[in-house]
Amino acid sequence: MAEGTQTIIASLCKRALESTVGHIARSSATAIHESKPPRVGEMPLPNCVYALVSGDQLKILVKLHFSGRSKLLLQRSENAGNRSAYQNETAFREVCNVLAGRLKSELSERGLVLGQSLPVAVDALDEILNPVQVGYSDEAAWRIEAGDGVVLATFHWQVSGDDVGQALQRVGQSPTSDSSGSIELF
Amino acid sequence: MGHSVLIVDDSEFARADLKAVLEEKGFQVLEADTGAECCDMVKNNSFDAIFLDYNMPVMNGMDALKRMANENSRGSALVFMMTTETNPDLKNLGKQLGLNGWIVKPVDINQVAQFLVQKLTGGQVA
Repeated sequence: MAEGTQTIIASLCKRALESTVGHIARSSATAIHESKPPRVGEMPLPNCVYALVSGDQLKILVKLHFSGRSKLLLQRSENAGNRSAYQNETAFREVCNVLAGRLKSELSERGLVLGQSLPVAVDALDEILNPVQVGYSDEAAWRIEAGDGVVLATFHWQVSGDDVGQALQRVGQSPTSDSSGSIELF
Repeated sequence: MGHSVLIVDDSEFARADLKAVLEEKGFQVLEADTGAECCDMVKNNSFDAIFLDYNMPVMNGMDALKRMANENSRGSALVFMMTTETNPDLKNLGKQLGLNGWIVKPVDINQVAQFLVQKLTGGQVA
């Protein structure tokens, strides 16, 4: 894949991540740093949720690795100070869902028609036995400081055919306005 | 009595989070986790506002909106799509079906709650 296409996809992934974290994270610290993606089968943190954004020529696997101490969102309902593992996983499924949706919209705005899966939660053993990112040729990762813990966001993608690269190259990395958080009345 | 709001989202967390903030502002909040459940609930309840997620299994938000329009069941409820989708064709379809607004996720739910207070009460608490 052309270097330019890889760079553009990575920048769109980062943009979607920054938008998602910037709008919905309510933990005390949410700094985002570039990181090294984990190797296939490696589980950098005990828990993981992932979603797939895919079409005929482009597939992107979006993964969020986290631990019990990684609290990106505050639970506003009951037991706010004592969120269970289930509640934490539910919160990260929602973050992953929004992140994948934001990425899908970024790509749709560039003319790529893609679908999105529901977020799936796996634990460390599942991740080692079923390394879902196998076959994805390119990747990028960012580390998010979240409360007392960290979250690792990884993106693995696979491009087939030239149309994707051409579509992305045509539009380039010129930033379109970020519509997330907007309320448009009809 | 407070204004009533229906939150329709397949994400339990998204519903609980928005519900908690709206209840803090005095709204009465009910939840549905599918478009089909939303369509059933509007037949038996009167709502002032409905927040509809778009991407949901079984019946998405737009199909729920269509069904409510066909069944003329939403009453006077303001309906807002709340989604990561930004496709202009979808927005236009929503407009044609009587949608009142489009809220792009990710969104600060405090901002959404404040928006609803303004919309329904002109700034007074619900």
